[in-house]
Amino acid sequence: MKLLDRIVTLIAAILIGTLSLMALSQYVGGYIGAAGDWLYDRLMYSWVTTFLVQIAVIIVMAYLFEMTIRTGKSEGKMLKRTTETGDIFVSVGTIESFARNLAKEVEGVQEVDMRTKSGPEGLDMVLKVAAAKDAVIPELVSKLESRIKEALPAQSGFPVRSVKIHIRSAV
Amino acid sequence: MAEKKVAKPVKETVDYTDDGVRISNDVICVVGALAATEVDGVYNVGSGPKGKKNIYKGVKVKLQDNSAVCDVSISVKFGENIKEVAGNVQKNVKRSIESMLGLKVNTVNVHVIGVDFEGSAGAKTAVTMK
Repeated sequence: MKLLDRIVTLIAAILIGTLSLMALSQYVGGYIGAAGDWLYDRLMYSWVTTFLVQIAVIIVMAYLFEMTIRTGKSEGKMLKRTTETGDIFVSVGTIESFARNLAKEVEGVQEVDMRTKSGPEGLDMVLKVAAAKDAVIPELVSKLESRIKEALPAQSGFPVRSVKIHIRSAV
Repeated sequence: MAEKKVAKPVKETVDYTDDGVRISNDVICVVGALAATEVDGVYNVGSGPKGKKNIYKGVKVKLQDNSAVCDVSISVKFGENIKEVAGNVQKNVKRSIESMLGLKVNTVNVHVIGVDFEGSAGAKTAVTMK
């Protein structure tokens, strides 16, 4: 789930909760009724705030609707190879999982985050590495680069054009 | 008297032979899925948990001009050559469906959607992309 999806889902949950409380306050007393009345007074005291809440609800609803019917975007994150029998699609996530495991096999690598872009000449990979405290960084970078450039094409069948390595931290 | 239970109708059937034999799409999917699981390096078929119960869901079949187009989703084992495994899946699925069902398979598209690290040192989880 994308970050934006999560944020919108959170806003939707808050909006639904708020509107439910306001609706409940019409029929229920006690704390729930008081909370609903308080929210009603804050949000619906003028046509401007009412209008803004309604606009927010419409935008969130539209986004959630788009989320439910969203298709094909994951296909953009697939690498494609055509053979005689048909096409082979490999998700970028699968390639990254392979690469992450390969990277962790290199001595001195503790954690790896990566981003991958695919182009006609091969994969461009950016690795953000948390190195071990005692690791010799130039040596680690060299080993990591050669490991990814050699082993990943051998295992995935997709050539790697460039590997950029950022040492994020030493742990 | 209790009514006799009637089997649910299959969603789609394919009339693929001259002698009028009809076969459910699901059967083609099961044959394709089992053929895919037989290939070395394939961890699982489909995105669900590993097992044979629902593997047919990892295969989709369409009929075009009296031949089938199959889409097979697989997870591969870490350390295997993805391209080679996917190529073997294409061949095995095509061969199995053609030999068992007599249906011509035009295209087998393979979607590699996950990787399993159970066999590799230091990692025990399978990662599946949906």
